[in-house]
Amino acid sequence: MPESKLDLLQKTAELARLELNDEQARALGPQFDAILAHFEILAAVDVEGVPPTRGATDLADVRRQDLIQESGPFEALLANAPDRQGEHYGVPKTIGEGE
Amino acid sequence: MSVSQVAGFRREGTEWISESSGTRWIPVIGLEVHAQLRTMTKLFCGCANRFGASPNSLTCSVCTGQPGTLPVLNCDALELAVRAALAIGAEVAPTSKFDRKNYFYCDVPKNYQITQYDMPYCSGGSITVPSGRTVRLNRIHMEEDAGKSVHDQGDSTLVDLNRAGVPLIESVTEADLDNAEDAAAYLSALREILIYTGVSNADMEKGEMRCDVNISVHPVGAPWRTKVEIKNLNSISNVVASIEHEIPRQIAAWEGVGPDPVQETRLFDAEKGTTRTMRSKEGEADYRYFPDPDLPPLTASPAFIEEQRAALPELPGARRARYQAEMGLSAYDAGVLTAARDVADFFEAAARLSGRPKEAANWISNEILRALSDDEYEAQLIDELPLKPFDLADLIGLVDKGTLHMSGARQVLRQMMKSGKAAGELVIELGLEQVQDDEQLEAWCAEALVGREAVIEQVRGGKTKAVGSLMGAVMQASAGKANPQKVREILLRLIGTAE
Repeated sequence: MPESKLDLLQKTAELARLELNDEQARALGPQFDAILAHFEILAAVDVEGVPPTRGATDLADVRRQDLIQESGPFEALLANAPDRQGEHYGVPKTIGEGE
Repeated sequence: MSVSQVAGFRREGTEWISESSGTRWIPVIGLEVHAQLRTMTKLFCGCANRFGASPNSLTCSVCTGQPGTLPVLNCDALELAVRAALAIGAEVAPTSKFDRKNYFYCDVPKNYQITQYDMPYCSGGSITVPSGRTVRLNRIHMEEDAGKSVHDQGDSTLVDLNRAGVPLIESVTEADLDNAEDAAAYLSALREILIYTGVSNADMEKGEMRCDVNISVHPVGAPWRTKVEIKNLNSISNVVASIEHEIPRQIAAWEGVGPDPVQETRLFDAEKGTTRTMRSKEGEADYRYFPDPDLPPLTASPAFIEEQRAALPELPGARRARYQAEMGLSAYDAGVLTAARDVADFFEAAARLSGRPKEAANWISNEILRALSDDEYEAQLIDELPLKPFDLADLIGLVDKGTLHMSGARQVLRQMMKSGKAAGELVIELGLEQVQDDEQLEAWCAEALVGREAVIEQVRGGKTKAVGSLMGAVMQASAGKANPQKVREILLRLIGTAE
């Protein structure tokens, strides 16, 4: 696997918050390569004049009324959290801000 | 707003002239505004869209991103979003779609935000601010809000997802601004439109409207330079302060004090009035936008768009112009009356019913709005008062006919604001009906003259103003019910001085 593709693999892993050591990167390399090769086949298809797909179904305008439904189930939702802090989800301390 | 003085700079119009180099710098500013839509529920699920509920009590399997759940678009959110677009004269796209913006942060439970990337529902539009500058909008798109994280309690960051999934519109201006004053005026105008049209409450203190500022500086005539984004400004005054801080900071950096500005996101520290680096800007591709396969595309038919246009009220700018041109109000009064839609609606009804727009305007701005800010009344909004526009019209009529004098009318108004009783009823109840009976008035006047020879001499000597103190005595004797005009006439006649 050429260096640039390894970089791409590392970058992709980083965006997915995955840490790969050299050994793992080498092992994943060929698999990643095969995936990219497959996308190259797709990329080569002539789509001139074909409108972009905006969904996998023919549905459009699926909407609901603006009516309140019961929220929850809170206990079940909070039970999924590895670290529950009262009514909150606890997560490792993050400094900085979201989007 | 006055232009602040910054050491080391001279300001000429919108140019900043560096005193050390003599270079004339010009700022380039664009604004991104997030506004929460005034819906009952979230954008893609039926959880209530409400501020201030206990943590995570307004969440479900959809807005917490559980596997196997599907988002379904709230039709009211779309309607409100389209109204906002029409109110600023923008184009509504016949088709648009939702995309996923992928990033990892604890307040985004799905690890992506549903937003609109390359096919927003709205493009174009503009708002003209009082300085005469027209600020063009590039686009408005719909998206979902993120949750909230609390960092300052204990060892963990605490996450509340009540806000996650609340419907937002994000409006993005072109970089048409070059000073803080116009930026503030643009935000005020946008906020006013959002509130008027019922699209958003736009309460910045509650985070219902938030602003990001994109800003760069360049020497006059030179190409634009690297822009910096200042995030999450939660008041118009903070937007002004951050711009006024960021312009000289960037100029100083370009002129060699510190490293050159880089493309980054900065945070405004409201206490210090400064900005600091939050993170260097991730490239757009890193968000790996792609169409959300869970949400089919949406269309806006011409009929749907026209329906939304018909639901729009007359906007504040148009109302202000009409009040001045057709009703003869001052620009100031027109501004006061149109600042909130309910006040403007109240005024128009009272003006129509009484046929006296100027009087209606005076009563509302001098008495009613002032009284509403007192704690004495339960009502905070004009709509919440038991006093209705036809009551005010009645009151204006009574003053007009001379049944009620001004100070009595004020008394009646205050009672009407509390009890909602009719003006005529209160006039009798409070015993305020003006006494027009000449005999009674003469008796009060004659009484007032007793023992006030000095004043009488002054009046005879030509100082007719002195009659005021005599009138005061009559008003006191009549408990405020004497018609002042008549009292004056009678007093002057009795003293033997006709005007």
